[in-house]
Amino acid sequence: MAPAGLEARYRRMLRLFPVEYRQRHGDEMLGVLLAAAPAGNDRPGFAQTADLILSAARIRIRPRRALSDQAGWRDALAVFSFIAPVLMLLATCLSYAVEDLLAHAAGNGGLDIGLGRLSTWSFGIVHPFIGTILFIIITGQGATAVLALLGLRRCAALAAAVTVAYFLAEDFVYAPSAPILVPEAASLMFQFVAPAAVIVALLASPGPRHGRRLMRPAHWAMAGAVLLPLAAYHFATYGGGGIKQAFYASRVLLAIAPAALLLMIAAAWLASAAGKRFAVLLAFLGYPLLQALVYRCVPSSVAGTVPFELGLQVAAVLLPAVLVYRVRRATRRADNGEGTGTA
Amino acid sequence: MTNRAMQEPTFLILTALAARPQHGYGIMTDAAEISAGRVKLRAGTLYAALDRLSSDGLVEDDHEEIVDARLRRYYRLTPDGRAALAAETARLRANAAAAAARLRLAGS
Repeated sequence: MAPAGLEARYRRMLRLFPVEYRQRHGDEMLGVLLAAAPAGNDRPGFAQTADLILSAARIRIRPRRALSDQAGWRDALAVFSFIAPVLMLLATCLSYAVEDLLAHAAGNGGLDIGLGRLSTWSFGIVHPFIGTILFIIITGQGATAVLALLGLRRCAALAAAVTVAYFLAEDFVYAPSAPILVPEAASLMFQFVAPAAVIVALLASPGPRHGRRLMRPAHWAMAGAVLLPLAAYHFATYGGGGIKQAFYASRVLLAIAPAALLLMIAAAWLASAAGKRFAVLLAFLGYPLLQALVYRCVPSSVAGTVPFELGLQVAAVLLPAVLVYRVRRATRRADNGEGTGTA
Repeated sequence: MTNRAMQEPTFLILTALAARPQHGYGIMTDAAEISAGRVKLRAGTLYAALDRLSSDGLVEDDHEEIVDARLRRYYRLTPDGRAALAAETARLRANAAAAAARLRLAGS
């Protein structure tokens, strides 16, 4: 029987390991450490101590390993498929609500519902409530969110495809006549990156119903952290011209994105491994926002260069590509019965 | 995995599991015996390696038992783990054969 003091010391040292690792291996490791301890020792030896400290450090700085757990990715995608469509919808509504408030404050009623840049299909000045409803119906955002909430993942994916199709049509019809205030990346995110990520999540995961069951407080906190900058950038992309210009020129955008980023990091730090994977997926929604910040921070002589623009756009394509690759690999391995079935 | 040389602790862990499922302490003592006492795996290194091998699909859980009120988990090789060990054994054998042939050549 090992001395109680030795066991207590080993237990303290095992706290150096991440909690999930400890839950999986803690008891076993303690048994092995005590079995391997020389008789009569009541303190861990130097070599054993060094090995535990170095191993714990290696495990902690090895996030990619934890992120490769296929079942965890499927669960994180399920959570994403539940919350992302709702976030996009809320961001749209919040953005238009703010615009309405500002318009009333400036003495102008109504919302110029130009449906984004598709001015040729403009409905003209309508009541803000009706304008917002029109926007979310025509772009498919509302249907995607409602169908995802109902757990109808294939129908929700189809509705998200409508969003992509709508904005593609818009890009073909629209001829730019005014300087673009917000980097293209921000609108790219609303039009293509986010709906595409939602489609992948809906089709490759067990679906939003499963995701809803997995929601934890840290997930809600991260989703809340993303909502504010999402709404801000939706406003900056689609808001009325004069207001948008003033808003984009203000320092509000510069303050919102880093604040949201800090919140995300804090929530992800506290979250489980599955929660951290969810944070990575949510970062897709935040990526163009960070791009917009980059545009604001780098000199205009650099921002306009081909390598800079190309780098940002390649990154925008590469990130979803890596996600798709991981999802396909995860699904394939899970189909072969190699997954653990839990996050 | 099969294209790169395997690290010795990994090779020893897979070898220890080749004949039968083993628990952590069993793998540790077996690895020391296979390497004639040259390699002494410690608990932190052993479980980090088992975790990695498990993620790579080379090792999986076999069964668990409680001994003296402590959990004892047994691990076994997966078919991929067996193939990886076979490939590494063939690589080492080919290297050893080449080295022996060169030594014979130099000695003749």
